[in-house]
Amino acid sequence: MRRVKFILAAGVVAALGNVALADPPKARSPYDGVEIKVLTDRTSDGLMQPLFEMLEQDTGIEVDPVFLDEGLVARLESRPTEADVVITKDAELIELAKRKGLLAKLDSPIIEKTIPAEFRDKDGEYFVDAYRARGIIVSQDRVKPGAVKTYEDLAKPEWKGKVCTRSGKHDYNIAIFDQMMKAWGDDKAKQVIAGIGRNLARAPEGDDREQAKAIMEGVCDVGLLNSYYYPKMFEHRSQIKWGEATRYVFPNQDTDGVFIMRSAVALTKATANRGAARMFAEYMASGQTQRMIVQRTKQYSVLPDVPPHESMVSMGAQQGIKDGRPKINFVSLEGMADKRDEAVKFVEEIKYDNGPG
Amino acid sequence: MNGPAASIDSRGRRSFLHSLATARYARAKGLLGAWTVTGIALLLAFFPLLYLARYLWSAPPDIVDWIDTWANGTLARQAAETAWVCIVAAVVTIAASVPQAVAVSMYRFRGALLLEGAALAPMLLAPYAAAGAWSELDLGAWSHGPLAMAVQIGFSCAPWAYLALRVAISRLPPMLGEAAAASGMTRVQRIIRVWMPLLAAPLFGAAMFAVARAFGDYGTAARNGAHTFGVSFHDIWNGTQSTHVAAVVALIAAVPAAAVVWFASARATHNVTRRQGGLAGVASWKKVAPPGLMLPAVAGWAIICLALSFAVPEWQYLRWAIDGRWMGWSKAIDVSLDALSTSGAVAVGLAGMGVACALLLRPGARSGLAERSIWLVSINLFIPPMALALAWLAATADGSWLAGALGEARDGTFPLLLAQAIKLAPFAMLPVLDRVARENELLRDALRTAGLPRGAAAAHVLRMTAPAIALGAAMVFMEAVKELEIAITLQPFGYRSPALKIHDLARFHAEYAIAGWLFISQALMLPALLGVVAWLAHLDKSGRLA
Ligand SMILES: [Fe+2]
Repeated sequence: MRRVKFILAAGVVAALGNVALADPPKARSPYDGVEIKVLTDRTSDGLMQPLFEMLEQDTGIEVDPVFLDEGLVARLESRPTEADVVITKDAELIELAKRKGLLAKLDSPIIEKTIPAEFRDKDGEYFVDAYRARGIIVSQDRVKPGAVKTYEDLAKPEWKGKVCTRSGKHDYNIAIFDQMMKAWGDDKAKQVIAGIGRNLARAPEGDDREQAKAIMEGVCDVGLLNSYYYPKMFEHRSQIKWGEATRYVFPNQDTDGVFIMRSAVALTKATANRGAARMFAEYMASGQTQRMIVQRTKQYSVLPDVPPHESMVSMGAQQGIKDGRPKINFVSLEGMADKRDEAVKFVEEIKYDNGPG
Repeated sequence: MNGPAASIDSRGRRSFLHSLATARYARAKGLLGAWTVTGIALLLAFFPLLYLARYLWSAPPDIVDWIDTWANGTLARQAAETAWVCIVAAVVTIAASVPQAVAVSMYRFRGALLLEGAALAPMLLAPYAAAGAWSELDLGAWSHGPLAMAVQIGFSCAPWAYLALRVAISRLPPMLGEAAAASGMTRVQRIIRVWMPLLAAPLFGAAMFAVARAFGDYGTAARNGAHTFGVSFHDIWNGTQSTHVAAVVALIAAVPAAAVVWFASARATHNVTRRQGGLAGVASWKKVAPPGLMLPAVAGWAIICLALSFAVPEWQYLRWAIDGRWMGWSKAIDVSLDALSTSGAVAVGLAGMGVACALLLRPGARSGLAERSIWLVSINLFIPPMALALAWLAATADGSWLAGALGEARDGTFPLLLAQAIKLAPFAMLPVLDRVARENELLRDALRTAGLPRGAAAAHVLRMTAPAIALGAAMVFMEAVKELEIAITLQPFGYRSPALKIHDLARFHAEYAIAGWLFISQALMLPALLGVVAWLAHLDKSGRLA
């Protein structure tokens, strides 16, 4: 006990000494004390708030965020210079924002050097900071291993009345439907989308995880789910049984690969804090932040040397995927955005959201 | 002026002419005042819609294509589901409020205050929060889906229906019932032929309110997986990412809404109780002991309603709160202060509007087109709140005249305050409009003739309308605390509120974390709710009209 007290006292003395002897506080970066505004449709509690805190510790840049998950592009259109940085969970929206002339060039040699070309906008106006697979979940009990291996399988008549998805007009589904159109051509893509629509067990509703819940309840046998949601279900006591009722499938691994969903970072036309905003964008591309993104969101890093989350590794291993990196059917964001209107119109034409009947 | 030489005759004629001119002048002044307040209110209320209408002119050609695709696509099914949800919501609102309101207003019994509390409690629970709790209860279509959504919306509107009925019943002329009984009508006949017509306005209003809510809501519908118009609007806006398409869809909703509101305003200004002469003002209900089995029946029903509307979801959140992590006082206080200041400002601003209505609208039988038209402020109850938010977002865009006029204020809370205030204006104004419509039109003349100075007369009128203004402000405050859709889109940087936190965390299904924010929002609303209860108690004690 006495020893503990002594150590504590010594520690306090040492700490006081440190304070007294320390140099005047050094600026953590050229932008120490600068406040930047960040507009994002990501949620606050998962990644963003801890990331902002880490940024402030390392660089002194403070972040004033707005979290809005509806109308991100409309807000940016209305107030193009209100924020300094935009971050989105759906990079297609940032490509649309670019087309509306709402973004500025990143002008960052660091980002150009570190981020692989396929994850950078060709005009240097945004970059992808992370991505996830949009794969398939199947019932653990009712679907035999290997029975569903591709997106195309979901459209086969044998799954009639057994497929669940969220709304066809939700960003996540628009994103894979327009990728199908771009990658496979309109004819094949429309056949598959219409096939999935015909096979729906119920009118699309809920979010991704609620499709797993529906499989648990026996409403359907197969569904679509972003890869990170699968391990996340096992983190919530009430959702463990949703996860346990399902198995994750990275589709099209023997053929053309799985489609991905991307997150992205861009600078707005605001110029007042451009330097600090760029430093924040570069910070998002750094190895340290990328590892944090992988740990907290279970997405894949865009940096080749940052390994995938262990949960992705083990999900992939069940399919014989090495290092947790599935084969990707890569469609550029420009290609997706080109097909967006057509995809949305087609989904509406086939009355996808009405479900069966 | 009147010299001693003037004959009695000519003096009389002159004063007659003088009073005629004065009356004309007063009438013109009254008309001007009424149209000023009505004009400002309607300009503000219709501004978002008019702004969206602008897009019709500048619409790109492919807009016809989009609307055509939607009309031939999912529209029919959405319309059917929306209609079904609206009807069920209206039925639930009426069923969950009428028995309780009748019992408490007309009968004297122990536990009346408890019954009143039970009827008003669901005001503390936003329907989207109730939806979160029910969804996790896993009772199939009973806890999740269009039916569940309709019931949740219905219950969330029931307290307002209860309030409207309490006020309306308290001013029914009892002599009318006695006269009807004397003429040999049975109890049932009296209910159908005497009381029902007298209560038609609040009943109709309550049903309309539930219909409007169910029609435009997004948060509750999305959590229930219902395919109603609010969701439809959201999906089309999101899918097309086009303000033009969204504007056209929102305007399609506005046309039937305007018709319904105009029709409702006719019912409301055609005030039945007023026409019973001074009866209502003089006599008031003598509460009697409840007959036979009525009390246990109503109590049983109230318990069922309370359980479904409030107690079960609240209990669920309590369990989650116990399981969950506390977010810490500093965070909680910051967020509460943000919500408190914006919701408070909205309530105060609308109380000011209530004061203007009380002073400038013409009372009782003097009312005219202006007093009827001002009821149209209710139109925004029917428009999906997200469409309203989009309208304000576009109207205050960089380079717009409104952004120029607002200057720095554009980037603060002001647009949020303005948009929420205009959406919630009906809650604040309708009680005041109703109060002014029931005022005896001769009262203000009498005050003037009695020689009261202008200021004192105005003060008297305000004292009379103060309870209605305060009730409106309390209602607005509670609605503003729960308001979600406008807050999402128009939140300024640095703004937080419990409603936004609840929405954000719902994306994770993080109910254990939502619970804390729900209780904070309820703590913020509780004083306003207690104020409403105290106001009702006062209403009973004074035995007078609100
Ligand atoms: Fe997601």
